[in-house]
Amino acid sequence: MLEQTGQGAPKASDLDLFGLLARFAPLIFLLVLMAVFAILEPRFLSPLNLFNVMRQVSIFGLLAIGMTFVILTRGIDLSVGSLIALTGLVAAAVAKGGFESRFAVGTAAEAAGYGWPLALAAAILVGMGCGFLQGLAITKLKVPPFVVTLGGMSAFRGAALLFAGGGPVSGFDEGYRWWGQGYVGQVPVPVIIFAVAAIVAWVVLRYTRFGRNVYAVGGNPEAARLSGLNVDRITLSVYVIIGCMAGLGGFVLSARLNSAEAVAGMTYELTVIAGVVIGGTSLFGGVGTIFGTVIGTMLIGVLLNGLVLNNVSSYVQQIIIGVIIVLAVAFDTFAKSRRKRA
Amino acid sequence: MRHTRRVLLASAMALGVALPFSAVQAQDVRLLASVPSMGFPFFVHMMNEIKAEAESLGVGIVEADGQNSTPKQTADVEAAVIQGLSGILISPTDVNAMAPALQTAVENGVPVVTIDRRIDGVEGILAHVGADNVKGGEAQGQWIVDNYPDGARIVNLQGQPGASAAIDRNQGVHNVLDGMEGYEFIVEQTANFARDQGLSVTESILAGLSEPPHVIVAANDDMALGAVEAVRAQGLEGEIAILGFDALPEALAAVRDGALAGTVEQFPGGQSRQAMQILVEYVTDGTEPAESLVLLTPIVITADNIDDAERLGELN
Amino acid sequence: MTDGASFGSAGTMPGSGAPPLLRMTGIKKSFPGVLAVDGVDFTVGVGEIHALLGENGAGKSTLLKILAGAQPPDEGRIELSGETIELESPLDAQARGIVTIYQEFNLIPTLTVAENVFIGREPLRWGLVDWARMRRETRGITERVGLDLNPDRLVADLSVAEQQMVEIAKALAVSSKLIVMDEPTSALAESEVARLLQICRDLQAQGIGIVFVSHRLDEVKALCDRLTVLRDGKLVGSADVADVSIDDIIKMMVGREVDRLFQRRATHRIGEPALRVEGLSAEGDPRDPSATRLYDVSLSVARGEIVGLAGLVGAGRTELARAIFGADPIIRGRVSVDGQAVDLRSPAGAIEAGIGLVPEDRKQQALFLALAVRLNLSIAALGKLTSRFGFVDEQAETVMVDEYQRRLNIKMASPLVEVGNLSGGNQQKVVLARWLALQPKVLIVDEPTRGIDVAAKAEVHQLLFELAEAGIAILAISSELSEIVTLSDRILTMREGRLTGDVPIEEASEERLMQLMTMGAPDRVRVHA
Repeated sequence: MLEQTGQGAPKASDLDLFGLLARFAPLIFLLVLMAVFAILEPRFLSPLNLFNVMRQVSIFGLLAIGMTFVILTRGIDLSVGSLIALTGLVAAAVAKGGFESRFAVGTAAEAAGYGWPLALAAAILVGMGCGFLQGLAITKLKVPPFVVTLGGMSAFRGAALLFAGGGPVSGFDEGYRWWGQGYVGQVPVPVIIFAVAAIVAWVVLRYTRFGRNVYAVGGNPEAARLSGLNVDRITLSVYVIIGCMAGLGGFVLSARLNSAEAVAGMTYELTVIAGVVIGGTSLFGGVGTIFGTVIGTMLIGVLLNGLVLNNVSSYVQQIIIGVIIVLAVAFDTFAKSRRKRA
Repeated sequence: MRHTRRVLLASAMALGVALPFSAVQAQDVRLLASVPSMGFPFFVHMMNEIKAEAESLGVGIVEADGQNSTPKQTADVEAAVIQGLSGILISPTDVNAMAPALQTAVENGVPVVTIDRRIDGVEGILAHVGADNVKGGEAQGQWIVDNYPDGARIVNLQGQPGASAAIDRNQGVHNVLDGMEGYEFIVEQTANFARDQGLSVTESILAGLSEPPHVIVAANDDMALGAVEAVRAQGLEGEIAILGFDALPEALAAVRDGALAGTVEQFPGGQSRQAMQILVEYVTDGTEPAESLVLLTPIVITADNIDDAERLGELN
Repeated sequence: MTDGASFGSAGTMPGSGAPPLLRMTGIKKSFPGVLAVDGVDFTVGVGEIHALLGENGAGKSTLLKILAGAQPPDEGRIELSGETIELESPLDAQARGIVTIYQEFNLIPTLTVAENVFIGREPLRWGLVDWARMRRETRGITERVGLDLNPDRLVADLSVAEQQMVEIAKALAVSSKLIVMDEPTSALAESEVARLLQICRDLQAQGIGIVFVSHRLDEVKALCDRLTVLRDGKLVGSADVADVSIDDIIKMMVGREVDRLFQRRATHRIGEPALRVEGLSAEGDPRDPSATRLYDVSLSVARGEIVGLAGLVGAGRTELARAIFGADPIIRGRVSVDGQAVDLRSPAGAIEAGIGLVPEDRKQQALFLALAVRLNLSIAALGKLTSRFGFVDEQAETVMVDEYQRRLNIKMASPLVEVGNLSGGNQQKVVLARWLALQPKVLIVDEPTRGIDVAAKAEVHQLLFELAEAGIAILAISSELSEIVTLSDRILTMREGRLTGDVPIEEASEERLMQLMTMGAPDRVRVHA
């Protein structure tokens, strides 16, 4: 009797409450959190503030998109925070033509370099290169991703310090700054970059063969190999992708801060991983969506913003953030387990 | 275990690797210079000043980067004692945790001078040269009182929760302004000494206020420079005075260009040079310093007195 | 009882007045839908080595689990040295002196021999582990049975045979009276088997009873005093080993009618050779220390032909399948499909050449359990459904998935449900569909019906017939001889990594095959072409 179904749309009974709950658990949690903040501080919902939140999470979001690919293959990347500092400095150095005029503001020095297009390209290339190296170590040397990227976290930070001699580089021309500070209509540019990246990533994961292969490799690497997939190449690719996102993120962050420094992006990797996991991506691989990642990242942004807006003491903030991260994942796990039973 | 280590160190000393006290020629002197982290421009500057002073005094130094890690700095200090270096110039990573290593050094006859950050619970430190972070905070507070005599609405960007510099600087600002009529801290939030957080926290704060504040006072320049970007994005430049702390070159540039109202100069270079002089005098002649606690008075650098800033020369 | 009656019924050892070590009478155990053990009597005397025999599914494992205290019987009585007992848990059974050594060892590889032997019972002094005593006693135990094991070695560094000795030492450390060994020799080399048999005799001399489960009848003949045969959950009979021949034993084990569900296909045409394997030698999966080495295997399978590959556990069937598929590295040899050499460096090369593999372990090696049926089904064929820019043509994919769902009668709510939610039979059909979607020339199926119900099993068989009919060359592996006989046009037997027989179906009796699998001389076999 069952064999008659299965074509076309799912039956109405498939759209049960728990199914919906499971699918949208992170979104529901986000909306509840936003409602709470809105009640405590009505200004939370002002367009200015909401765009602030979106802009603040856009850098995390770019990294989180890359991290989703990586975690889907059962990997992890702890090096993104360091990589964002390195690529930001590369972009800054290219834009300013070196470190000679590193603090010059509002002078001809701003335009002395090679301009933002080359700066952006350099940042992305360096990011992808670093990702490629890590991917090689993971697939060819068979070192676990946790260890390789822990090494990368230290090495890229060191490279950033060495490259810039420890100091910041700041003061970019308007074309460069636009990428972090500009607007298109009402919408901040970093938000648009984040949205475009999310849509591209969603299409890749959902509609391309590569996307299917990423899920397969994370779902069961052995089965993927026996199905004829080149597991090493797919694994390598996801580290190049997150490197690319780190390059883009490093560029946008430096544009937004009008400055790049070697200490930028400290502990970003943890925030990013938290966002991805809150969004329902399994650390065991094979399960997760870009939609979830966007929601999870926004949840973290809303949390940081809402607590500041309500002027919660910094000590208490850390406790609340920790508790909410665990609660959000617990809620997601609970919803999914209910659906399985239902 | 500590005992064992001490015995080991003592026997290393007994092998005659170092001879404290007897007049030593400057060119024979080698000192350890250790800073908490070369990842921060502030300490890079400190180290550069130490190197410059060492050169002019004609002594040799061994540079050590604490890498923000107490075990690393401890290992560096222990190595210096074993190597028989003549003295230690150090800005400790931690006020308490570095005590055992430095105590061991002192007990083995290696003189120790601390810079900028003090050490707690060590007997026999030759001298401390530093600036008082509380005094620096008070200088910020006093600047606000002087420039806003009728009172001010203030946003306070605090440093990393728990860090002593964050606590002291915050304390200083409050020392001056608390209880004064018309001065109100409308929001106080941490931005963890980081520029990106200085920006995002300021954005969030501004979104939550119906009326912009008069002053944003930050516990370091990075956060202040982040706030500058946030204020600029809101089109409020010129309406809000932003105060930094540390007088980094980049902040000095911002002060010169008017983006920052001011920043606090603690003369890290002056501290370093003075500390070096004290240590070298003691090692070469055995001269005890007149004062074992030397505190330089921090000042607020504004566009008017920018020439007093130590690192202005780094702007080219 | 049927033909087993001639061996006499179970009873105490002849001429013994004392109660036997173990007496199980009238044991019954059923699971939903299956009567696994039906009124079995089983007796082991003091110092007796007793073989427990039967085909897969005969009820051996259930009886062993009852004896190990892992499952209570529904009915029946267990007596130990004349005293009626109830085994409440594996721990309880162990405390009473009944220790079971499973095929999959219960050892912790990261600990030493001594730690494993005393795990959970470490000798203490002042509340701390008394290492000296632990080592001393471990050495004492191992020497008792002539083992030479350094107590400080890590179990991970030991060979399979040595690990088994650690298991035996563990059994002795709790002063066992009865040791149950489940297929103890399946993973051992010839010389190691001889050593194990010697250890069993030493244990016997110390008055310990041994239940010896093995498919290798030559070993049973050489070692055991008595034997008991089960078939379809029932007792066939018990006998003194000296009184029966190996042929008698095989008859007792397989003497039943082939299920009517499983009809052989009637007529068929066999074409040109499609798959050809020449002189293949391989080490097996490098990650699996117990993998069997393959020695110089040559075979061929023609278009439209189903060739069965029969062998005991550890004979190297799965290793052969994986080597042909490029899943494990090979040492030398050549595989070709339709005369074209296959690139064996990765499964991708074999797939490119038109080979498909339905692996032995569906869940571990074939399925993406948390992912949709659709992805599971189309993953290998996606190349055909992908546009120049890497986009999957989902419309064509849906058509394909629908087609195979219909053709294979896959029962599921929608192609988007997780494959893990399907029944075992439907999961296996998804795996088969994955390869059919590629239209392979050669299909290797390793245990195609393991763990699926009878109806689905018949469907899978029918499907394999249809595929052969359509001209695909099929190499089928199964542990069930009856399945091999049902499916195959020709049967190859393996033993210890070598082919030992090439039997046309007309000449294949289960007795003959069992003989080749257990006793077959590991000669070179001619390449059938």
